[in-house]
Amino acid sequence: MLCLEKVSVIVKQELAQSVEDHDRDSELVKRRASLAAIYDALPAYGSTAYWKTLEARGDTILPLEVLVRCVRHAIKCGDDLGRKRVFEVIFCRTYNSNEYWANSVLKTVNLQADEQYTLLSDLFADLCECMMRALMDSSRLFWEENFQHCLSFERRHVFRTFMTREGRWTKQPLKKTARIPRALLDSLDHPVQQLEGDVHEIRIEDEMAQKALLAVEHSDLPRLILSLPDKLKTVVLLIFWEGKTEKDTALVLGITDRTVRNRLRDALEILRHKLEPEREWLYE
Amino acid sequence: MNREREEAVQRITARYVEEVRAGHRPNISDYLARYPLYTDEIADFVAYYHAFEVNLPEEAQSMPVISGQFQAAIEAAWERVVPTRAHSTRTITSLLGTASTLQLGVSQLAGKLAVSVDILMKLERHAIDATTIPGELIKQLAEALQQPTQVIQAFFGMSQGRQVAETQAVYLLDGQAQSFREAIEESAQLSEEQRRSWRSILDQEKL
Repeated sequence: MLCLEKVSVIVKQELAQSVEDHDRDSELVKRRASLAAIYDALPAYGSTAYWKTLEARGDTILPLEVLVRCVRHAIKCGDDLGRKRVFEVIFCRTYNSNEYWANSVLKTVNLQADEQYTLLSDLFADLCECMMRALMDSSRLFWEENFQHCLSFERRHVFRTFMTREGRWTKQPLKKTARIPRALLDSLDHPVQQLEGDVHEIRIEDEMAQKALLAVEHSDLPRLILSLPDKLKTVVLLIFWEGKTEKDTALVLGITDRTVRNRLRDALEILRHKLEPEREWLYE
Repeated sequence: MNREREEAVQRITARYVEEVRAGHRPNISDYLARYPLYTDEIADFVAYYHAFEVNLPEEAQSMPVISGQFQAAIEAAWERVVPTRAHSTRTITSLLGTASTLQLGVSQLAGKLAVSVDILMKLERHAIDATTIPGELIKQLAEALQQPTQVIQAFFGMSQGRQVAETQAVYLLDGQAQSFREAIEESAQLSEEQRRSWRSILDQEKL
């Protein structure tokens, strides 16, 4: 009986999901049609009216997705100056968010003032370069549908490259953990006095790291999570950001509870040194 | 991540962002459970999004004035993408940065060059004496990064005597200069086959 109830809930959820998907698909089709209509209604390419429309602000502002098509059209026409002019509009319109982003990225690293100035320029130039290359590549169609989201992806890409290149962020290889005998794993659930020597110390450290991680401001968690290897990132995100239990996390990821615990332990091990200030605060 | 995969992840995460912008608090677990093929990429984007993107300012109604510093950065980016004739001698300031614009990751570039990531990082940081780098590696770097060999040589300070001297001075100050041969012998990440192959190239080039 319980099982049947469960099945019925799942079927209802799936139905709701498929209705939602259908709605979303039709919204997407509408949006595509609307963007195409705006693009098709543009004045003749290169005319004064054309540039006036592209450079307009306020109510008549063009969606950035339409400007992407304009860049690509200029390239098709071999019009280098036209291409540059559309790019200038795009850079101007994305300037505020890009500047804010570059400053936020640099705030995460300790820098001297002169170093900050140079790196800010480098970071901004890297982002502009990536944007140019992406917009000039007509196979990257999603830019014509959702500019801001593609820009977020590009910024993420530049962020990662920057952190790795500047040596701020060495990519930590995911350790292949040896399988731990179930008996030993179970013993971790028992009181601390049952453990001995080094194991004792590691257990305490991880507990501290775990408490410190729980004490971290919720909004600061993603930055910490970002520096973890992918496999560990997912587990920490689900447990500490979303508040899932280890069991639920295992269910979502299709892995065993034991794997979740191993990954969590590895993640806490990596995060331990980053959490020193929180730990000090926690035990004051 | 290949282009097709990237676009799939973009479409999925776009929905997540849409929900956040609409004031909801979407469950990441729903997305991960629904798209098990992309869990790592989705989680990575979500963490990044909440760390750096969620509070970005909306587009301003008036046209912002771009500061001189950022205008110069845009010009520098133009120069990298479409070099003008006045600056026909292209330069690159980073091997990894150039690779990244070609959507090549660190390990992918290392793979293309048949070197290990630790050696690649040393090359990136100019921690290897430029005069000991084999021509074969310069050639492979030029091919992988789609740059003329002169550009790669210039990166290592090989094109002008003065630059080489400057580079050497930096090495001496850092006290970390080592030869390419020492780097390959020392690397724990290089396979034995790769090591043998580089030894033979170095012998051929009498380095």
